[in-house]
Amino acid sequence: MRYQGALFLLVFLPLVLLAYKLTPRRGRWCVLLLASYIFFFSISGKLLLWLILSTACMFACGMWLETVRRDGADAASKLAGEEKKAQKKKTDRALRGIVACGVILQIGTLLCLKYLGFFASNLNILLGKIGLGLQLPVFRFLLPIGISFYTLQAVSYLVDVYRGTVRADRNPFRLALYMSFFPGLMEGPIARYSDTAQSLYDGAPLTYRNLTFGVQRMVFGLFKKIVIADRLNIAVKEIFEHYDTHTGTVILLGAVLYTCQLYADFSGIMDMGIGIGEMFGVRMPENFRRPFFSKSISEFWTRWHITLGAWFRDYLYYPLSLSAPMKKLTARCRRRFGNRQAALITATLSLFCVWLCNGLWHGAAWSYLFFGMYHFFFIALANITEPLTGKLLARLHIPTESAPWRLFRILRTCLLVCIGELFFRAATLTDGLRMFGRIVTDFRLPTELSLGLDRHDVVLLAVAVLIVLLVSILGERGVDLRQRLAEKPLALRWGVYYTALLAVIFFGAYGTGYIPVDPMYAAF
Amino acid sequence: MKQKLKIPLRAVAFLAGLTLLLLAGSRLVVPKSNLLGGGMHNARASGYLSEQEHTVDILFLGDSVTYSSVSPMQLWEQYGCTSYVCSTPGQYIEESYRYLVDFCERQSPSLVVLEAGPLFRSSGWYIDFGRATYLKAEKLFPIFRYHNRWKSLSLRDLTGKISYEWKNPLKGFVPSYEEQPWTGGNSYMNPTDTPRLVREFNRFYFDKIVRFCRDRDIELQVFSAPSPVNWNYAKHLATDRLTEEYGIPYMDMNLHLQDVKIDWAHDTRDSGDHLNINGAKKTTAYLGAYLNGLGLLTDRRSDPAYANWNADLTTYIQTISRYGGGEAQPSATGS
Amino acid sequence: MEKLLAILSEIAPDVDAATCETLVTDHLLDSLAILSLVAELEDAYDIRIPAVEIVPANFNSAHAILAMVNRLEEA
Repeated sequence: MRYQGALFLLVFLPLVLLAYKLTPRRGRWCVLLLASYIFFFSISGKLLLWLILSTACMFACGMWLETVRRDGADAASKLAGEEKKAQKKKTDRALRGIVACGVILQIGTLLCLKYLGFFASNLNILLGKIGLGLQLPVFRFLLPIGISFYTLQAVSYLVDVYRGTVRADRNPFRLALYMSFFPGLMEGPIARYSDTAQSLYDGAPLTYRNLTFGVQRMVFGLFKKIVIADRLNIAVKEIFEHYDTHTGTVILLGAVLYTCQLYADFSGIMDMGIGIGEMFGVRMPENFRRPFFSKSISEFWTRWHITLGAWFRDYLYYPLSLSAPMKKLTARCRRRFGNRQAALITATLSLFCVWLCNGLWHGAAWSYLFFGMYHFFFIALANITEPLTGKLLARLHIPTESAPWRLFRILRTCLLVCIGELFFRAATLTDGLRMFGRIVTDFRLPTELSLGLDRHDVVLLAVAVLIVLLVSILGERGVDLRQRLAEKPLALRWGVYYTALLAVIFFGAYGTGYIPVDPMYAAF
Repeated sequence: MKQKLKIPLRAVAFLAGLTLLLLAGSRLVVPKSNLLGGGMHNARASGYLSEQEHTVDILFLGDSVTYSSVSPMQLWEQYGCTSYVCSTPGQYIEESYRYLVDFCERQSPSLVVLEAGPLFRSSGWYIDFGRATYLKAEKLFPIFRYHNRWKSLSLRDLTGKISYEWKNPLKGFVPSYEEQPWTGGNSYMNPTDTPRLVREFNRFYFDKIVRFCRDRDIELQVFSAPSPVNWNYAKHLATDRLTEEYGIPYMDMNLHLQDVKIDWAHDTRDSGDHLNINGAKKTTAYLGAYLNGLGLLTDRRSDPAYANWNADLTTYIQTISRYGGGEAQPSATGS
Repeated sequence: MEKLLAILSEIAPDVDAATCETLVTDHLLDSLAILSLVAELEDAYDIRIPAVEIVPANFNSAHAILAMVNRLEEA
């Protein structure tokens, strides 16, 4: 099932809503779990077993952590002084061991399924170069849908239980729902147990407000996905698949269009997922906050795929920066270079690891690795040169709060992001580099341009993008459009809803003549 | 009580409004002619829309194998029976069913001949199910199928007169003059013991087709046209068992290639995937003789009401003799 | 409190740390600033701040930071 498909929207979702409504409150989370497993099974079939395995392992580790912690506390309470401290230390060591086991199992499964093929084939190339006649077998596994997302959810749960910020769940089936809730199953948002779990089990009644707000958001997401992203796909495909026939300017246009497509696609599916969650009274975390208004790359990553960035921040960046060896390093550097420089050194080291993982998380390919390093480079560069640029700006008397300067920073960030996405989309890293080479050497304008879009498509796309831009600008100004709309008279509200629905149905790039485009992040 | 009913009532009103809008939208975008240029999908198969009501006796259903193998005008020439081929590229079984139902809204055929290809076409259960849902939605609200016509809406779409004036002299047949030999011989029909699986979904729609025909006293025939690429013995066996279960007659030309006189060196347009005009002439002749032998063909040639079929025959003969090579495209695009 | 405010003013000179309640949520302290701050706090108060404490609630205002420091000093 695809979120934007007829089966999901016209059959599956209404049936789930109905079943949810008819079930007494206490059993409603079971309806959601069943629906989620059916959804998963419809895409990945028997690979459901991997999800069940992951969930079981996570449940067992959680319970184990809880038991060890309780027993440790019991034992410690009977002791005093040095003995008490020793007991505490012993417990801590045990807890660390368990959580390490759990995390390794989760990440290990992901690594095996997703990356073994990549590592083995690259190792083979290396071995071939060295001239050893040794070749490793290359396994390629079928990936269960959403594994990159639910694995991160599992890890965050385990670490949170270890840290004591959440209590281990005693019900494996409820954990299974947290892992598989269908609106976020395919491509996130990556939820935290402490944020969503309670509302998942709550079985909140379907209310008028939740339903209308949910549908609203879903329709807007559908608009972004099938009116903008799927139509842009035609041109993007043409440019990226035949880039050698296009001039540099067209390739740059392709990078911009692809960035728009990716945003419309990914954030559209997020709107749909979060909207569907809203219908069931489940608050899922936001994944986008108008990223193209960012003034720097690091700000961009706090507004684009927010939950992934936050995950890496909380479960990799800070733990790494504050780990014992890193702290030792910081302390040494502080004595030599001062506090700021010391922090900068540890931060940059941790950043490097974060972006290495971030790149690899997207997929086992050199182009993703490059994508990660590209962003690492610009964030680290900004951090390192920050005092310098500050002085320079002051010297040049450039008012840092003025609108033109802000606009310049926004445009600069957008351009960098588009170039980054170019490498992200290119078939291979070599293709990406070649395309980039064209952009910076070939400034010819195309004499004639045919990207598979006709005049009507272009006008439609322009209007649609403008609408999304307008909504974003209003959002940036803090206008709560949905609340505003809800306060308007019924006739106007319905007019807006009908227009939106008909716009999606009329102008969507679906059906005969269009190739269906799967949600883009589902492949990661 | 009043407060409690307010929201459900509102929801019903909203959905009713939406339904009306969808119907109006559908009316707007539905093609006003059955020409490809008028936006009609699968115009060749939809040519039956302009046939006079209740005059076409036989309906052929199936995928590209069918429209490459069966020529209704040849059947008219030889037996005087009226038929139409509503087969489309890669037709799924639920589409065959859809064509059957739609066809019977205007025509009352006495015989439906289904090529067995669609029985085995599937993309996995949930995709099949999704496609069938979508087809249903398209039937209820054609806007889902023709929404893309917003690009070419004209005044005529507003005033909304529908007239299906384009007549297809080939009656759904698509002749090809290409020749690319099949060199694999007839080994694709070497017997095996294990039949190919007919999925539950396909079986469900086959069942619907059978029941639809029974309810209307329409004879149903299943056949397989020669195609080494698309056919094999496992599929034959499965079709044989399925039709036997339902008591439907089944004839597989792939087992009678000698009698059909298929010459794999000259009778296929793309190395055994589809037949070309030579092959089509032979299969149509064989199929006609077979159906005639069962007494299923009604001769209408002496009936003045069918005089236009003779006129069509002249056009048909001109059309297929005009093309020396390539695939003949009857002018579904033109005026 | 003065000690803390001095540290903060050194790390984020443009911010009125004494009254601001949204140091993290409004991105006035970025991750780099937080790392410097943690290092300074660990030095100044002789404590160890584990990763689990790095949440917006602990860093959004000077009061929150002080509360966290006091808590860790006791432990």
